[in-house]
Amino acid sequence: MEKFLSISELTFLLNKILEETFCQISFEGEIHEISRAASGHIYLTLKDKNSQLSAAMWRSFASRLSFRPEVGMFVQCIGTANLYSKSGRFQMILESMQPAGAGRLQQEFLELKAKLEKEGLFSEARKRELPILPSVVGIVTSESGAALQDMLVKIRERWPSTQVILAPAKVQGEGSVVDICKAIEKLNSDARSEVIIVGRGGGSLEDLWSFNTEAVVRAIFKSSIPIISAVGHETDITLSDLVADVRAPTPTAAAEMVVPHRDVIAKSLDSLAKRLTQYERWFAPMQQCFDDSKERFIRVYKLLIQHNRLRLESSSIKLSKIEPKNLFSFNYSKLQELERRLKFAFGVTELKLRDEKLIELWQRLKKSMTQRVLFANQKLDSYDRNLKALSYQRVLDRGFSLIYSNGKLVKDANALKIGEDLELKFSKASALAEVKKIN
Amino acid sequence: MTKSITNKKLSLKDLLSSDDLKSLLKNISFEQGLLIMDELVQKVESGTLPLEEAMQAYESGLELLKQLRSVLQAAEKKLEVLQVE
Repeated sequence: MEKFLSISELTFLLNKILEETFCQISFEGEIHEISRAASGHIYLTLKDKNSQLSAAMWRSFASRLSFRPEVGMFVQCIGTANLYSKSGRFQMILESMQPAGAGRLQQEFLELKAKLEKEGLFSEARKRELPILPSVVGIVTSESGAALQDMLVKIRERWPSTQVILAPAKVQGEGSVVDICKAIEKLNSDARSEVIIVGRGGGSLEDLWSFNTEAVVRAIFKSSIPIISAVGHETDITLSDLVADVRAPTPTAAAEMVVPHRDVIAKSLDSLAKRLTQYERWFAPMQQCFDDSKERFIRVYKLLIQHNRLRLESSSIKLSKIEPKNLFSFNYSKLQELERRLKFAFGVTELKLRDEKLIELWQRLKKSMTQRVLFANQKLDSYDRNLKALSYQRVLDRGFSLIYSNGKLVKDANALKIGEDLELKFSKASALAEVKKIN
Repeated sequence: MTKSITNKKLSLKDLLSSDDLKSLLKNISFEQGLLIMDELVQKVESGTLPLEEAMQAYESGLELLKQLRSVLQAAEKKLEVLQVE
């Protein structure tokens, strides 16, 4: 007797085989239909060019999705085959699902980046400096996000009197791109902000995607107010970061960049105050100038003395040439030469002279010569005395002084000119004077 | 702290030649005040100012310091939300 299986039994067996054979299969496709039940389960139809397949995702998995699946989305799923016993419909029970676009998004990102780069939107040359201390800061972010609170806390802590103007915007999902662009424009037309922070907290690549769109990048580029881009975490780099004047790794970091800490400013004020009240600094350069002149004056003065000393020495050498002592030594050497010539004339030395008469004559000659030398010597001594008496140094010693004009001795005051420099030479040292009046 | 756009180009020179220093300083932004303060101190330190001007700079500097310090103590501002339609 043939055994017939009931429908339930057959379905159970089929299910067993399906579940064992097609367990946790990875597959991808486009979402063709999607419905969300009140229970939280999601029912979908997935398709590709030729086929379609039903699928379901139970609430416990659906609640863990990091994105909102929509019709037309290309998704990658992991699921197990199942035959729904109530209707006999074949379906895949999904455990996970993610947009298959990650690779495609990356491609889009790179293409857009290259295009905008070519247009010069990311040029370093157009990046503006942030104001040192803006009194008004504009913020474009979600009104309900943690990023806004983080930024407000930081700004209050650093510079409490900063006016913050929030232009609220959805920062992810549908409408966020338009929101962000409008908010930036609004802050620009409001014009009070001196700097704008555009940002949001961390999230998945899809969450941050608005900040990679051409519209947002162009809105940031167009802003006449400098913009700090602060999107996601430190590792996330968006096109907004590239086009903004400054990129902050996180919203909190943006708040730290935008205003200084008041303790730091207070400290620099203290140091400025200290410097301002150091009066001695005011006079330091004048003091230096004075010291400088003093040194230069002493140097010139020393040169002048040196110069005059040289002049004095050269006159004293000239003087010494006519000094009697030297005159005498000159005559004496002449006498010796005469003696030599005389001896030579006799052709013999003194000892060889036999003729006593000659010797006597020689003696007399010598004696008379010696006397003449002696006489001459005395006469020279008297010259010496007279010359010494005539030396102007003696005169100077008595309190007279010599007046030179342009190196020439002045003998007639009428030859001088008013204003002319005179060198006064005293017995000791000299002085510089100016002609004030000629009588 | 209100930002005055008309005063954007106020310089140390204006400050030193002003008869009414206090009202001039009232409209100055903090950032600008800091810049002027820095310039003023450097000028005084350089010793290039005649003594009389150095004294004037000193007076202005003290007044400016007072003003800047009071801004530092200013109260916390409320958040303003701009209506974006």
